[in-house]
Amino acid sequence: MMKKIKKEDFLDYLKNWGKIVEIEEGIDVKDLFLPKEEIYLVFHKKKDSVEQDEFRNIERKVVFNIPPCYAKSIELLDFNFLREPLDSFYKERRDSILVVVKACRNPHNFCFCTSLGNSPFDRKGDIFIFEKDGYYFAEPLTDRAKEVLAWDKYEDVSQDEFKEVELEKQKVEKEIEKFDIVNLDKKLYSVFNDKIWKELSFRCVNCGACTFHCPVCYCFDIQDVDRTNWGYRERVWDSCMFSIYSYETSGHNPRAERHARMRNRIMHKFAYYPVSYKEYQCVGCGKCVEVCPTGFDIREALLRLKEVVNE
Amino acid sequence: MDDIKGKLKSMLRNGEIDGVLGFVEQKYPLKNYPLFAQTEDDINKLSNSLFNILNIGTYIRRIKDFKKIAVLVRGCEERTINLLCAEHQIDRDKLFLIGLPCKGALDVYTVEKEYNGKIDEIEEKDMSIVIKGNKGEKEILLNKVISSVCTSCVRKETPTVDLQTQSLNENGEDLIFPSVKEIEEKNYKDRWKFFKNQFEKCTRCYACREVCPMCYCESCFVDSNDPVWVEPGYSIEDIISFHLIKIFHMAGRCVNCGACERACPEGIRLSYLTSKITKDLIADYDYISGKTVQEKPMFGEYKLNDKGDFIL
Repeated sequence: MMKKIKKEDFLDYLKNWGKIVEIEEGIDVKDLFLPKEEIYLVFHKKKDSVEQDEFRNIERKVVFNIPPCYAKSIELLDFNFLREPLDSFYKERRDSILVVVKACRNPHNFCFCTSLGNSPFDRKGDIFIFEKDGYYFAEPLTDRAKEVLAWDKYEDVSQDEFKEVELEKQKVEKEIEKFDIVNLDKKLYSVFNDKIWKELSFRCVNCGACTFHCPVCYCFDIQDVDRTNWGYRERVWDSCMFSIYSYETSGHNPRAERHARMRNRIMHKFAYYPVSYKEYQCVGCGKCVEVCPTGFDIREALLRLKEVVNE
Repeated sequence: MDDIKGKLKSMLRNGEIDGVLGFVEQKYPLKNYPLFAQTEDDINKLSNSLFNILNIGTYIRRIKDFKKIAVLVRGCEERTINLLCAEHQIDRDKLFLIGLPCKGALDVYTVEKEYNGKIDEIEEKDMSIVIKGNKGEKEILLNKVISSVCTSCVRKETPTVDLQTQSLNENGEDLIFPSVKEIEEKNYKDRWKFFKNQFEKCTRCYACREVCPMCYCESCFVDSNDPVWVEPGYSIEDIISFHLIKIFHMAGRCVNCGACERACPEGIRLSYLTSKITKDLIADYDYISGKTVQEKPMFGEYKLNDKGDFIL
């Protein structure tokens, strides 16, 4: 049930739980849960021994004001890293972060969450909030959220206020352009060898901007870094758009051509993954469209693919 | 633009060219994308606008098996193609270049920041742009949103093309590089602080490398893992190593088109580096890269009166 809480009070409760992290860019959300550089171990070479450093220090954090699409992406990351075999580094960090999701009332030109079955008012994360005249209408969604404050102390939002939230939801949903890609996933397999991929990828420069800014893309690489007399093992972001990503030790590269790499990105998000796990590997935030140097629009690409599939 | 399109269409009909390479307007996001137009309909889509933020030279090498293609070029792109020809990457005889007038390219991220709202439409005027969207109508002067490299463009004219669409102005203006001057005046501590701040934002997506027409190596030094020239990860020394080694390889080859800066999703001001080498080459060697096809690359030639006071 939604509770009506004064803004300052609510913020105080959050501050008591952990450090509030202000998110400026979408890329910062992913960086919190899956840092672009995560050190696994650090070692120093001594005269006749090697010593390992203690360095992991996890503090409690509150991610505040992120839109529901990013909360959805965290769910997808959880599904990937918290399944067996469990990623203990991810779990440790995940447990220390409280996610407060704010209703998205200012969708931008790139948004398409509604086309993927999501909504800008989806109840996601630990706490869902809606801002109104110095108050938050807040809804606890997980057990963890119940620890943050004594929810019973606060009164429920009135019927009218609840209706207002629903009306605002309908208004915002209408602002987002919607298109239909239902059942496209299975059909995409049939155009794997079509020339459409070369047509779509002519403009693509195969940089990693779209995948790095994608809140769902989780590919990483584990590297040993060797400095003089010391070194570390780390996990860094990787991108399927790089040719070296699929370059095999044998010297063979199954995705040496540019269009094959773009095909893999789109197929993984909209065909392989939904066919296997019944979820798109995309939340419709549109960040990839915004950051692409050539303005590659995934929405147009999907509609174009739909045309080709139906031919 | 319509006359050129008519001429190109008739050339396509007569089989003189296989297609036309140029940019196509895209309503949103504010970035035009390249297209190899092989039909008359596609030729109609081509445009020359402030939103052509990339360099068309990047795309020429992607077109395989052609007899002759037409390419729409602006000043910096023309010089890029001259350089690519001088480095034997493309054959000038197989290209038909059409020179376009240029007002510079927009810095898209600055435009979005200036408007700070949902943009529906942008109208191009002589000295400004008019943005319409959910925050009402707003007029912004061009010099506020034009890419900083374009304000200190070395040559906007296109004297070496096959079809000229603008009059040539031989008396170039005095070049000033305001951004470089600003950095040069800082002491080394502030300079380090500035560049450290900039490069900390880098995610190593390599958009700057991929959009650069002169970065055409089959395999890049950062992708090499045996030996490792630059360690993976996000240590500031590794990020700066990548950017500095890249820019060293660009000296005398960079045309300062600014595509790398406009492509950077983090808004890193790479033009400080590219403008600096452009400025130094003009000051020390009176060299402007890619003036003609015949001219040898900067480091492909040796003159007795070359400045050499930096050699011990």
